[in-house]
Amino acid sequence: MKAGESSGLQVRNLSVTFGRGRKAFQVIEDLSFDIAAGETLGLVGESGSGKSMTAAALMGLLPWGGRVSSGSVRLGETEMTRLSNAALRAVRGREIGMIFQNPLSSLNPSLTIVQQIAEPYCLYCGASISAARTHALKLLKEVGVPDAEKRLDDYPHQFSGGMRQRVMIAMALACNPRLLIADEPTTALDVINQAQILRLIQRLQKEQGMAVIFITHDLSLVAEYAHKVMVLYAGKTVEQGSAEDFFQAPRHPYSQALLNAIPRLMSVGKRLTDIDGLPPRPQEFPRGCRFAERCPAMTPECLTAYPERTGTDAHHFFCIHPVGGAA
Amino acid sequence: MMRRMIFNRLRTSILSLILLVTIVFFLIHATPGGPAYSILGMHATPDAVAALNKEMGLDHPLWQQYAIWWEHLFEGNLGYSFTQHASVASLMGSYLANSIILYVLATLVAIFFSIIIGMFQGYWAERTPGVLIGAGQIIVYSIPTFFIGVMLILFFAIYVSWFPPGGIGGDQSTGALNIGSYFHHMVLPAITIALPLTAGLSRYFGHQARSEYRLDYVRTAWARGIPPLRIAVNHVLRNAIRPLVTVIGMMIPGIFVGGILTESVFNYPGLGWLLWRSALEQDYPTLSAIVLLIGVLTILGNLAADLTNSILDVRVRYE
Repeated sequence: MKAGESSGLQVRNLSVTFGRGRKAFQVIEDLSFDIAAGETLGLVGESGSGKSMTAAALMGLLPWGGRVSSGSVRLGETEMTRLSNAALRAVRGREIGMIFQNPLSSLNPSLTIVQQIAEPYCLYCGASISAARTHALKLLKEVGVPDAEKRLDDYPHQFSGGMRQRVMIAMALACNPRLLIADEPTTALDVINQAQILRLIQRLQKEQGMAVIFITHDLSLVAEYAHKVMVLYAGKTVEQGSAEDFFQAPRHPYSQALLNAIPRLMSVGKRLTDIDGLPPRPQEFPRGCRFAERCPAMTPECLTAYPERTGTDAHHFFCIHPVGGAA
Repeated sequence: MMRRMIFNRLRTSILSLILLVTIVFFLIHATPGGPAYSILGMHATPDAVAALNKEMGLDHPLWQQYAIWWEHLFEGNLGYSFTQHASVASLMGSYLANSIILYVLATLVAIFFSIIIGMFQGYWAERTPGVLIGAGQIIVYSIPTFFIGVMLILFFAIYVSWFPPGGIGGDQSTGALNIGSYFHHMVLPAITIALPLTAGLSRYFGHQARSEYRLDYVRTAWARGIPPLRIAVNHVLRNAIRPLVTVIGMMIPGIFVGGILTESVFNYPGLGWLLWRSALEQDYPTLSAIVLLIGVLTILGNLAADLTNSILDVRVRYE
């Protein structure tokens, strides 16, 4: 095993299934990716493409009825899919931190900030109450909450949106996790807060050497903050590669379509291209390429079987009619 | 801000109290035949009725009687029971104490079990155990109180003889009261009141817990590895319990209604039993005093619920 791989996240052939028997359906199929320590993976896709479900599977927090039906998730030396519930909780408390989309509803309205930051720190890192308080203060300062001493005993509703997301980050970092999952962390924030929060995550990532999964549907943010990109469509990977390769030469028609849908300053006056139709529902996933129905390059072969992986580990895609011709 | 809110709530409560006293007053006066006929019987001579009306002050104009009724209330004079030959206030004293102890006991038991059942129901919502709990609540809630009481007597008092079938224990004539026996007599009536109360309250609380469990902050807590029991107590319960306080306050009239039936089944000398008997005997002064008292307690219960709620809710407290 290469150095660096051992401290990051390694996901192999991860599938998530809901239901049993004939009613069973897969919402995530055969995902594989690596994130080294200090690296950021941008996980991109439309709503319902399986981004958040992937995060839930990594955390062992699938909604009731869902299960990891195959594949492996390795965090450092630990195989997550084989852990007991209690061991999994300890991993969630210390090894993985997570921030969510809506920072107000994601905080308990009737607990003070310090109570919420310190909770897993006391439980899993064995800190006393006073040590936890000092630690919480340090964290609040680190994420840039002004007047941190005074704000420790405030309640979430007394914070502004951007400050709440900083508190969420402080909570996620309470036990120095190896992996940070940021599930659309800036969707509810204004543009200025968005940039500040993402730069804060970037800075903390460098300082602590965390691996980061950045879940978003905003490709322009991925271009700015991620090292690697993985595009999901209907529960499957359509393209994966380094941010450089991906943005310079996207190969999958869906990636291309997503990039075309980003408004650009230089193209004022031109029409934005959108993608017609809706992604299929998990119960109705087709046998062939799942994007085929909406794809401009679709041919009858696309419908017969899911395309083979094409390309290298560093940049690959699943399409028989890639943008820019066959490799 | 807090003081202003308390002031507003108090003002509403006082207004409701005035309204309540007025309504009770006019209800008594709307009774067909009037109090004199109730006391003397339907075949009393007009002279006797007139004499009794004069004695009771019923010959004054209505507005004057209304004023006198208020005056008496302020003096703590609830009237005189002609059927029991005692002042209503002295009559109600011991009955009230018996009832309050019974109802508080039953309510505490109901709250305790409702919270536990509701938390499980919220956690298991839409899964088999949650559905079963829900069905159980509807079944228990639908059984009439008197039926529960009779069944409890049949089984626990007659079949296995663990508890007395009724009464209150101790020697009522000498007033000597054995505390152990007193509470021993209270077990079955308390269960009878608590059962439907628990069914209703736990269902309400179960819904509350279930919607709380779905909120984002609970997801955050799961994502941070907080153990299930701690999530239940420290996160969900803390937020779900707040509206419960209001509901308990609003349930007070329901508790009294259940109490009337329960006390009559168990021959338990409480307010409900007194109400039932004064209704049978057409003892209007006692009846109106009890109705008034239940009304007052309801208003106070709601007031207390609102105030506690505002203390529990940090957002109300700080704004």
